[in-house]
Amino acid sequence: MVYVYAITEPDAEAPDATGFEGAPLRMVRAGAVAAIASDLDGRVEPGESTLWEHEQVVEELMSAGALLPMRFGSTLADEVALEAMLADREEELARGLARVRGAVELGVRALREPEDEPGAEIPAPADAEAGAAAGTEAEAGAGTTYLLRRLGRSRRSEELADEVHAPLELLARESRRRVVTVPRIVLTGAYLIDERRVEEFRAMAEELDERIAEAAILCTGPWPPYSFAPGEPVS
Amino acid sequence: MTRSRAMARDPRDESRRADERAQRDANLARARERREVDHERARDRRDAAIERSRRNRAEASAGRRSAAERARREREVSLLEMIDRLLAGGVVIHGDITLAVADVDLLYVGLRAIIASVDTVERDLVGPLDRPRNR
Repeated sequence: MVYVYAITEPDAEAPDATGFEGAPLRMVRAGAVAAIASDLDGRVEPGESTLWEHEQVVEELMSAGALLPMRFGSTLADEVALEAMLADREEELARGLARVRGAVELGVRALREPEDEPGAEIPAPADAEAGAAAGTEAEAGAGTTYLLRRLGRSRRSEELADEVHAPLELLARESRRRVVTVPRIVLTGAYLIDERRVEEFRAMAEELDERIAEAAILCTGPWPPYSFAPGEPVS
Repeated sequence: MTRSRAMARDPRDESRRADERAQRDANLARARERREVDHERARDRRDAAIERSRRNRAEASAGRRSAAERARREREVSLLEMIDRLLAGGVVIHGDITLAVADVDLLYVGLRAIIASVDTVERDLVGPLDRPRNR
């Protein structure tokens, strides 16, 4: 079997490094695209250390040129099957490479304090409807009060997510986000950033972290563009 | 006999020696007092130093704790970010994908234990990010 780490450009150098099981990495080319792979005898047991190993190989390749990382655990029967896959999807993968060329992915997470901890007070709902609802809170039962609190908190999380995402999105070629209002993560965002704008983006994330006291904003990366790679093949 | 004359006791010498002895005793007494005072001061200084060092240690350890706390959170978030990307992102191929869907779910559960303190993960981990919002 061959384990595939990433799709890259055919003129990229074969890196002088090893992959799983200590097997040397090699390039398999087909037309306008190439794959970085290594032979695999056994099975890659998924776990924290093997995930990092996959990630490390892909990160080492990042400096060589445009690159599309494979999902963890991608294997094919042999090199022939890999060549066939590349030829089959050449156009789609070449488009994918053009899309991420000269850019990296940065991840941003905004975390709030858990509800029951100090400093996690729920601010009064801003709009009139919620304000009126809060006014009746005194007569409402404990269950209703709880639900109103939850609603207020969840609305505030959505506001915070927009507050964090909007200025970051302006610096990005493309972005993807997930707004999760339960329980602590407000925003999970992925941003495709031109290499020359990485520092600017980081500075903006730090500024938001300082400005928005209700949430901790953590920026990670640069990552290979996992969130901007072509997903399931159309079949 | 120069030598025997020199050895002879001169009463003036006797009296000078007595003065010197008295002087020496007085000096010794003063020195002893000074040493005692010095000793007390030294004890105070030592107590103060111990107190200062205890305080410094406490502050340093509190600082380390909060720095360690932040480092731990960053490590966990990095791991979370990596899991999200490697298991839900990237190019997907048809073929002998090592991980069946059930394996991926199990892996999420297993790794969630590692990052238990970002207590979150519930729905956030599973599934790819929303559709791109291109400008």
